[in-house]
Amino acid sequence: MNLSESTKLTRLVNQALPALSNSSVTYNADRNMYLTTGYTSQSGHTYFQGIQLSDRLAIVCNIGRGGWGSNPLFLNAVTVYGYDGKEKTIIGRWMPSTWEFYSDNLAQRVAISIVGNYLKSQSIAQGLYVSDSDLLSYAEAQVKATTMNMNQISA
Amino acid sequence: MKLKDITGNPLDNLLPKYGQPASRDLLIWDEGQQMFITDQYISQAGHTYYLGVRVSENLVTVLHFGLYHSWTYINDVDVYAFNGKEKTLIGRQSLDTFYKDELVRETVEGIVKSYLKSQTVIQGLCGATMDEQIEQKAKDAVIGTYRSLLNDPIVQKRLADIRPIVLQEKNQYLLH
Repeated sequence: MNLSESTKLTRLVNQALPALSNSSVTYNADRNMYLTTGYTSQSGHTYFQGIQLSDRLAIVCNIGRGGWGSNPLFLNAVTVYGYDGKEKTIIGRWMPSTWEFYSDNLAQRVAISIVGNYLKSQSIAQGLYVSDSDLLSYAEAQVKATTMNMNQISA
Repeated sequence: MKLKDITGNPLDNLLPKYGQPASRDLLIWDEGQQMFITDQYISQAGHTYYLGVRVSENLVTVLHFGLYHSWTYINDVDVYAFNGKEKTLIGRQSLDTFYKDELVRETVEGIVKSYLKSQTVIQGLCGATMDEQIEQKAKDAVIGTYRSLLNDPIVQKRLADIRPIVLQEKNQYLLH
């Protein structure tokens, strides 16, 4: 990603996710994620958020880094947002009942499950007849596009 | 309705592009947490607040959530008795702490137990057996609110009745 594209995306992050405008956001190319500045507790654990955006979804992971040994990463929560105009709406969340190590794979599977369940419940509420497999493949495609940043965003 | 490709299908309206309006049902169901998410609000400070609402045949619980940075807080817990059409507040507790599902369950159970106990005292019924029954009734009532909308046709049928009950909930501590 060149500098002007990453600047545009950073501006969109600040627009689309105003909750983060109080903390600065840096783009991590390895993880293809925006990371907020962390907060380190007295016990030495650091908490921050990893955000991935597409033009239809925002996936926010609450991540904790253990302040011991290999500084393992934990996935504490996943929140998926859809948009409505320039506003964002929570369409689902995941908070594990017990601790989970962070992995891109886990975050992706959780996000797909959240999006799929959201689409199914909305289809039920609106009387749309869409098969489960169609819903799931749409959910998977949207999440993959978000995590792989295939859809370029225009700010 | 067949899904042809990513664009040009009804699911696009449920996940519109940034800048375009959504045509989504106001009632957002979170299957993972088995609750409706409503009254989402972002404060000037950038914190997100929302309500988690669970409904069963006889109970409505409203959880006041706050998202601050990378933490999830549970603020207030409101518990209502429900007769299928109307609800009556039977207890409210301020937790204002990090969210934990067990904590919420215990809190709701405690409120239902207190309510049932006060009702039995008023009616002049008491005793150890009564206490045991109350304990069990409270547990069952709370378990009953953890339902799946997606897999439970009974809940789906009741959606029209549940809708106004859920949507009338507002986060009254925020002025908006």
